[in-house]
Amino acid sequence: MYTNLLCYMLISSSILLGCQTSAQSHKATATTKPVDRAAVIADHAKLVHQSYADAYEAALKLQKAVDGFLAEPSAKSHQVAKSAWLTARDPYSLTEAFRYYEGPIDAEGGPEGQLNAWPLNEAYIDYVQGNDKAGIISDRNITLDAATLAGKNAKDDEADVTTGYHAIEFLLWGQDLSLDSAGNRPASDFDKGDPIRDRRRAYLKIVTDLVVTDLKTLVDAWAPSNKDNYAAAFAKLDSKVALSNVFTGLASLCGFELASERIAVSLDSGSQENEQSCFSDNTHRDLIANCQGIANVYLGQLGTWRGKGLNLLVDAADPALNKKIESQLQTTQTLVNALDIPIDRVLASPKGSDSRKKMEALVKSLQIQAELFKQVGEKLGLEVAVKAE
Amino acid sequence: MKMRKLTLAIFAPLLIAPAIAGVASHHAHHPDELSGGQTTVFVTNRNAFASPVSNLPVPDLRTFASGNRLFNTNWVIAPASVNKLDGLGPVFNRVSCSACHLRDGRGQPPEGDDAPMMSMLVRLSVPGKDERGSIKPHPAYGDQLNDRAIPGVPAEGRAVVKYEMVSGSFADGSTYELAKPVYTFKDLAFGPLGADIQFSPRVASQMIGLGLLEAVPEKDIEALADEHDADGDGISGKVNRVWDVMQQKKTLGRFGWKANQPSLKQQNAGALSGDIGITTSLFPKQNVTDAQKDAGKTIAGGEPELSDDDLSTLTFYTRVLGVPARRNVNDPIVRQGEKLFHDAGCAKCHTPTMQTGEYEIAALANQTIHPYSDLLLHDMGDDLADGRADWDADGKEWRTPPLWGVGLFDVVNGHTRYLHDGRARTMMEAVMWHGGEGEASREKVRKMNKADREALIKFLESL
Repeated sequence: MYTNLLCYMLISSSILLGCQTSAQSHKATATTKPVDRAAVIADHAKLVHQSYADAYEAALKLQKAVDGFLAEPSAKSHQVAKSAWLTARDPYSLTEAFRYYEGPIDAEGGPEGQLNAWPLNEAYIDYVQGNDKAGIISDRNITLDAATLAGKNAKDDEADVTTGYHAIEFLLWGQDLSLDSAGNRPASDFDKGDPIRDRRRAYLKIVTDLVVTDLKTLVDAWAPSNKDNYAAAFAKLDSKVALSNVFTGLASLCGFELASERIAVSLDSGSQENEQSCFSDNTHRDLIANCQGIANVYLGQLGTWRGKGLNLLVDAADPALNKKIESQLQTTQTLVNALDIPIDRVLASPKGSDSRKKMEALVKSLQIQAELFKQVGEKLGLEVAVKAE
Repeated sequence: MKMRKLTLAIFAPLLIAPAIAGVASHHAHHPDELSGGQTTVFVTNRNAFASPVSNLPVPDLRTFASGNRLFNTNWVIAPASVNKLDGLGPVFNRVSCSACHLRDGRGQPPEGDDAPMMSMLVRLSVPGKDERGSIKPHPAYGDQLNDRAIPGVPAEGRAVVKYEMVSGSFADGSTYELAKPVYTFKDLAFGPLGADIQFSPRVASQMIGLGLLEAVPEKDIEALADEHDADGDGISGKVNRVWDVMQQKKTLGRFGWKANQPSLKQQNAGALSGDIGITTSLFPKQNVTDAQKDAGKTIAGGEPELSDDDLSTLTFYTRVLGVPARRNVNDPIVRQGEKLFHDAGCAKCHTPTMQTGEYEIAALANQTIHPYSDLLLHDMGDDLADGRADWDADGKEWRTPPLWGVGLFDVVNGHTRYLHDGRARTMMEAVMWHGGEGEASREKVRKMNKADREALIKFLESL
């Protein structure tokens, strides 16, 4: 798959630069035609908008599946809802490359924490092994509405997460208490006609609807047609500021969030508490999509769509650096797709195991990517930081 | 598709903010903004205290992230099959570091009458010193009131605070109010505390710049001391010599409200033991007294409950939390306030600038930093006294707390409570509580006109 992408990329960049499809031509064309920063930035904004739109469409399907499950709870409709959640995760994970510069996703009041906070204290939401009366669901004194749940999200403790994808995940799968499977909460937890189960049903509906609403605000914030939104402000930014932001997003996702927070910490702790999608055992897909999202931004691509990527700018300034980055992105793709799964079993394996070594190699590759993106900052005169938030 | 009005309302303020946020990080940094030197982080939102130093090498972010997880870990009761981080209690105050140091930030007193302490604790002792010169713990309650416990073990008791209002006025006739705290203790599990009890309520301190402070050479701190006021300027800063558990000798203390801890590792191990009930190789005994017989029978979560590796990781994290840059340094009123700060003599204890020396974390070494503290003990007068000596600190002495970050408590932690027990509800109240060695400066502030007082506060808010 990746070879095709490389092919596409070479073709598209050479079309832009007006020459034959060969590596050597890149060097020659660097001096013949300057790369238009504004055009790259504009295509980046298109990429962001479409990525959020894809995530939104998938969330609408998740909402439909959840509504169907709640209308007629059964093992089958439960499975449909779970599948829809899994399907909705990939397009969202692609969008994490747009974080870390206080864009719509994570400016003050932005929805990132409400959408994707983890790890979460299961007992804060619902019953857990050893405490069947735990959580907001069992506490009838707590009003179940969007404002209340949103207000409680990570309020006094980062891990008191009440909303977002992982709250939905916990409600659909329940705790993952076994290395041999994901969580196996029964569909009957959502049967009608019992006060607590009714609260659980209401809770699931509220948090699913919230994900949809939040994604819609992101789609609208990046919509190209709107004159008053973030996309309009982004288009007016000094190109150095816009590009600094974009590269900071990439460097931070690689160097801190992925390499450290999501992978290394879970390796170091050996605890599945620290893997992102621990209830569904879907963490490997999160990692694959996160890595793909970084490549998407750098290369200016999404699915079959090809735009002008950041690689054109880097190639024009320092072809060797660009080559290093493209090569590292490919290495990362290979490594992340070759991880042993499920991740919780990797974490449970002894130190020095082969499966751990594979994850460690991925950590290294992502760290190298982060350093390379910082070097881009120096080459292009940008401020690129690895943010740890 | 048409945007809903609600969405517009949410995003209207964000239109400008994101654009400016992008731009703000790109102008050249004024040296006065660099409170942490090259380690300074440029964050002004609620994560302002939670970022690693900006010059931390990428591979070290791994240790930072692991330490962050440990800091946020909710400890559970032993034995816990799933979780190796078990051994909570048997008595404790909160179940995680982050519970009190929320977002690596500043604690506050309880909100409302009879409300529990969420980010605050009360240290205890009885008169006298032990053979090394440390405090004497209460025979039943130990050296700290643990207001929570695991099932089957009694919580030690709880503190309740009420405030008596005390009026004061500035020279220009305008008035202010100080909230004097009065503590009572309820639900005591082992009988009364006794008439000779010494207690000291303390809020959690913000966690920024601690490695930088650890990296200031001892001789530089000693050079600032003038215990007997030889220079006759009214300031008599004093070093606290405290027991270093790892070195097994007395060394310079610099952490804690009375500078009673010599290193971050010992501070962390002490807090793990006293506040959460977690043992480490530094403090391997469970934090219980003979009176707590039931507690003694509970199961430990390993020996020790936090391994040396994990304690090192946690300590690394606490060393490298970055100091946020100052804001509004070029605002003329802030500049005026800065001048007034110096004119009033505040800088004699709240030392603006220090240098770090060599340090095992290269990113923190040889930095010019602006903590606004000399890290020394000062007599702050009777009104602020806790009457509880701690090593060489007497019952009226407190370490000058660093002022860096003080202007961001409201953003990070949603409150504006200052001083060791959070009694001051505004910065000006905090200033007006300064007695003892601080009295002369306080009186200079009292004589300032309104514009000058406001400028001084604006300067403090920029830190």
